Amino acid sequence: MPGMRFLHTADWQLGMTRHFLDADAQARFTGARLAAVRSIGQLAAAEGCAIVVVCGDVFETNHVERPVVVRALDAMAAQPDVTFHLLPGNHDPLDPASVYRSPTFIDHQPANVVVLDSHEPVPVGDGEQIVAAPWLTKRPIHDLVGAAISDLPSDGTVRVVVGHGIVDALSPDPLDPSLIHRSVLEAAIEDGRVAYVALGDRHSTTDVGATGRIWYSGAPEPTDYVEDDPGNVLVVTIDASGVDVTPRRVGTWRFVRHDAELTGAEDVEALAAWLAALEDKERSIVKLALVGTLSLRDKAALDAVLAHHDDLLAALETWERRSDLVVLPDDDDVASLEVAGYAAEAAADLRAVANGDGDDALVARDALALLYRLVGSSR
Amino acid sequence: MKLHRITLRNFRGVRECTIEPSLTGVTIIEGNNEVGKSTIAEALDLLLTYPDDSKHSLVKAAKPIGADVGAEVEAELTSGKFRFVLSKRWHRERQTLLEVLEPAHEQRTGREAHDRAIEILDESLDRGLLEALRITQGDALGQATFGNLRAGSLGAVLDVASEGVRAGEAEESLWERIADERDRYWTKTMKPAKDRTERAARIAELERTVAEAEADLRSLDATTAEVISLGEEIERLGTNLAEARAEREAAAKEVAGLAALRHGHERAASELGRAEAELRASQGAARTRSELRSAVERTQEEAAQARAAFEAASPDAVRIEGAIAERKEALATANATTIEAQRVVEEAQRARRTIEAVLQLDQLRERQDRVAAARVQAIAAEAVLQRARVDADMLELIERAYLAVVEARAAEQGAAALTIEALADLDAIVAGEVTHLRVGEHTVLRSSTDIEIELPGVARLTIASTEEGRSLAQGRAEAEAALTQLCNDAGVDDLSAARQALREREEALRSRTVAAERIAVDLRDLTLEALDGLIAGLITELAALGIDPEASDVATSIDAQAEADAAIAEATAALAAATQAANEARTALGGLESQRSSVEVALAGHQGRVERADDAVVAALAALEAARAAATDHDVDAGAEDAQRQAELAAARVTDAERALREANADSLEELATNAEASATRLDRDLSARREHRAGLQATIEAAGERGLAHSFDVAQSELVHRKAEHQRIEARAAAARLLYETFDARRTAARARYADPLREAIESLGRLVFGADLEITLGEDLSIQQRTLGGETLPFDQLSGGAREQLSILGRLACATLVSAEDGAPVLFDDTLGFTDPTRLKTMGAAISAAGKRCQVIVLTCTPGRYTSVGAAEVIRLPQ
Repeated sequence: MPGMRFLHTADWQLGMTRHFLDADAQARFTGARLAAVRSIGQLAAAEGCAIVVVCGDVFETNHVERPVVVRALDAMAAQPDVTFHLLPGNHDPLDPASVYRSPTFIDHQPANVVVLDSHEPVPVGDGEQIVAAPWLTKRPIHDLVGAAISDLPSDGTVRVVVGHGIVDALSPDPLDPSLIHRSVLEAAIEDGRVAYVALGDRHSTTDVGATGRIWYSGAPEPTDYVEDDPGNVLVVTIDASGVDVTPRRVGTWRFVRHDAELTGAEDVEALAAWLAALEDKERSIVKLALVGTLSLRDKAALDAVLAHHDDLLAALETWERRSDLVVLPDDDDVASLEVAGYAAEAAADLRAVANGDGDDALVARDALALLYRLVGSSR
Repeated sequence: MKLHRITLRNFRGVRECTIEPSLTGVTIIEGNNEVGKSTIAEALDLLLTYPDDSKHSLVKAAKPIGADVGAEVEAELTSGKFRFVLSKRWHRERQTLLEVLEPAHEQRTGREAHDRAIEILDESLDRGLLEALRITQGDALGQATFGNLRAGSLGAVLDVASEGVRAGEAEESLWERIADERDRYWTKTMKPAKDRTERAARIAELERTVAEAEADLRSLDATTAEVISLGEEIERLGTNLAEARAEREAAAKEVAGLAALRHGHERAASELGRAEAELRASQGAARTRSELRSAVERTQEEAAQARAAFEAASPDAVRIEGAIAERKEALATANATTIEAQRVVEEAQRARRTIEAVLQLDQLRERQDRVAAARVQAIAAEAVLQRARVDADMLELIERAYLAVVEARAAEQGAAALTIEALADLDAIVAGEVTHLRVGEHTVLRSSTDIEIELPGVARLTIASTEEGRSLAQGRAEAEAALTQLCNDAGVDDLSAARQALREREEALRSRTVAAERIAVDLRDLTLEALDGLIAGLITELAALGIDPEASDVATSIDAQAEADAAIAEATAALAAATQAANEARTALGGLESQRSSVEVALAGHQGRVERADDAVVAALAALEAARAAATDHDVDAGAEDAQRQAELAAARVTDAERALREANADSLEELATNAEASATRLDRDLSARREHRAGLQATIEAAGERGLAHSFDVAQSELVHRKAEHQRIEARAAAARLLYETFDARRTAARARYADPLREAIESLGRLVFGADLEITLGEDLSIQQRTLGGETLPFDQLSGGAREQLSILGRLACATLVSAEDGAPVLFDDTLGFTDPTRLKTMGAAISAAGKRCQVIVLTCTPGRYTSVGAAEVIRLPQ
């Protein structure tokens, strides 16, 4: 049996926009996704893979900006000896509005880019085929992968099945009609009709089941905080001895979530230290869940820390849903203002409101924080 | 600070002078300008400010005039806890000596003494206060500025009073920054600042853009779904179309098999049509022949009937003609009798009328004559009445006038008279008139006027009238004239004539009345003209009847009249009988003539029918003959029977063909074929329409795809998210800035009010001695007096009179000095103020200064001693000249 070696990737989601990024960070984020395509091409060439299978969601949507399309095609064309097999997924289904049918794509499609537009087996070598299960609409009503392999003969051909979607074992929604049935895949592997199932849709690299032949490659660049292990592509080798799957890292960005309880200056300093220790800050997107109660002084210190790291990081978000940070001015706060006379009276008034509840209290806390800042600015 | 003592030596124009003012209370220092009362204040300044080696112009100016010695000042002062004596000499033999007496004794000299003195003063004295409490003539109208005083003096007092809420410079600086912060987000009228509203507007715009982009994307998705759905539908329609076309082909084959049957049916039907036409033609010919024969018979019978009718009607015409001739003769006789009877009636009536007319004419002529006679009588009476105008009243007047004349004459006769008796014939010229008197004759002259009598050649006598004579003569003349006038008016000569005239008049009146009565009786209801008209009419009528009215001899007796009436009645009866006879004859004749006319018309009709019937017979015979010449009656009948048989055969063949078609179910087959055709056409059309629609939608999708809709949406959405977050942050800051500002503003305003209160109360307390119990003042932020309210009227300080401004300025300083403690305070120093104050106010100001003096040291320098006499408890020091 001749050996088959290829690169398995998915979910490039080119053209993706993250609204929490500012314009500058968004440009870098977009650039990184395109750079990942080039990296994948280079990696394939370096690893001796003549084939790259991209298992769906190559594009974020069918309505992406045209420059995204031509740049992606250009990046793939840069490795003419590597053939990219692109599978339409749920983000970019092969429907009448499909990006793969757009004049821009067709006009600029290089020879080494193939769109897997049907489940007719595509021969890729001697006794080797790719069997694809493209998405033709956004909401299929059956297991596309199962359907694609249902009629395959057991004839010794080495078949790589390229699919997109969630495997039933991993889905929280058992009633989803488009679920991929793992048992069907395993049966096809068992009787030799299929050698490897390359899947997309799940952004974390995942080995499905026990065969070692059903994999999600994961997204080459992360897209969200919920992803466990993104940023990889898989180098797959199929030969007589079996299947070897080797994850290779290509991702440069990361999404980080961090919970912190803040009750005083020490906690603020600890958080500052944690943030300072982050690597590749300009490519890190951080979401903080902050709980606790801080004095005016400590909140001012926290604000300074957050403002500083907001400048450093690609994005620094506060996870509103899981944050509960209360600023309560204490006696020291008011004393540290070192104001006398009517100013001290006014500060006391604000503090009284700030220690209450509701919107008025929030505004009063802000007003005290502002007072704190204005007093500080004169010293 | 308090001044215990000050000594000037060789200071400007002052050789030596020592002042020891009262420590509490008012000290008035009097002296001329030249003596140097103002110099005392300057000397104190110099002592407390400049070292002995100072080159300051003020120091130079203090140099004594005309003496080669240094100016020297020495003062004993208490400031805060320090009591000390400081002396300095400038210009020559400079020296400085300081001896501190309390709290601990110390002595310094030279520069050290100066520095220590400055140190003590800086520690214990607010120099600003010292400056503020001094007032000179030049700035008597200006207020002291207490707002910037050091916290140690007035500020400290007020801070204590306001419980320390006034705060200091740091707080004021903070306040300015708070105001600046508010101004970043709010306008002066607390509207959101421009950049905030612009940001909100930009967010609204972005929300619209996002919504539009989202709608575009949704629309694109919907279009995509529709294209997919159309694709499925097109596929289904294609299948349906293929099926419909197959059905159409099958139906077409079956329909083709029907054609032969239908052709056979059509042919049979066509033959049947022809046979039926033939049958109708032969039957028509047989019927025509039969009709021709019937026509001959019928016309012959009609001709016989017409002729019989004509002959039956002829005798009636002869009989009616005879009767008509008889009746015409009877009518002629009756007409002649009638005409004669008419003539007799008219004659009798004329005779009767003649009698009546003659009788009427006689009667009317008699009445005419009587009326004429009466009219003559009336005219004569009228003539008398015209002439004799004297009535009873007139006569009475004339009689009275006559009596008056008689009486006047009698009176005149009794008066003097001149009698001339001719003794010889003589002529006497009396009153110019010659009177010839014969002897013995005499003439009596009476005159009411002067009379001149000339006896020519003898004498001229003049008799002058008397008054009485003239009066009597005038009375007589007037009576006569009256009588004459009355007679003239009555148309008589005298009284007797008048009486005659009255009688005539009365007679004439009677005659006129009688005549009028006669006329009325005879005319009765007529006028004279009507009577004449009647008479003329009768004359004319009679003339027409041939009677001469003037010579009439017509018998007009009652008998004659009765005879005439009887003749009329008789003739009238005869006329009626004759008329009736004529009418009867005429009626009978009319009936007969009508009968004759009817009979004639009937005869003519019969005659015409006979002629037409004869013509018809001839024509019918001719037609029948002609027809028989073409075909015999037998031939015609045989042809008709043959055609009947042929038609029946053809009908049987058609029935057979119809049955064959029915059995083939032709209608159903055709319906199916038609339906299959229609289905195929419709499906074809539907398919084309959907393909076309899909092509259009695909073009739309393609165009939209080129636009990169998702990117537009993402860009807008992203900006919206960032803008919203920024907006939220900024709005929170704006709310905080506003709350901070408003909280501070409220506290600050209240604090300022509390802070200024003690000073305001002190000024008002002193001021009420001057202005009255209702004085109120308002202080500004710098503690200066902003406005004064008096008698309910509030005026800004600047608009007050010069006197009032000066007084308030002094009161402000006094109030300030009374508030500050003795140790922390400074003396109030007035240099000849109150120059603007009138004498009345000088008294009350004196009281106020006196009152203030109880709590502070007040030193008044003046060159006009009388100005301050009203300051009660004052110590007066008079400077030596």
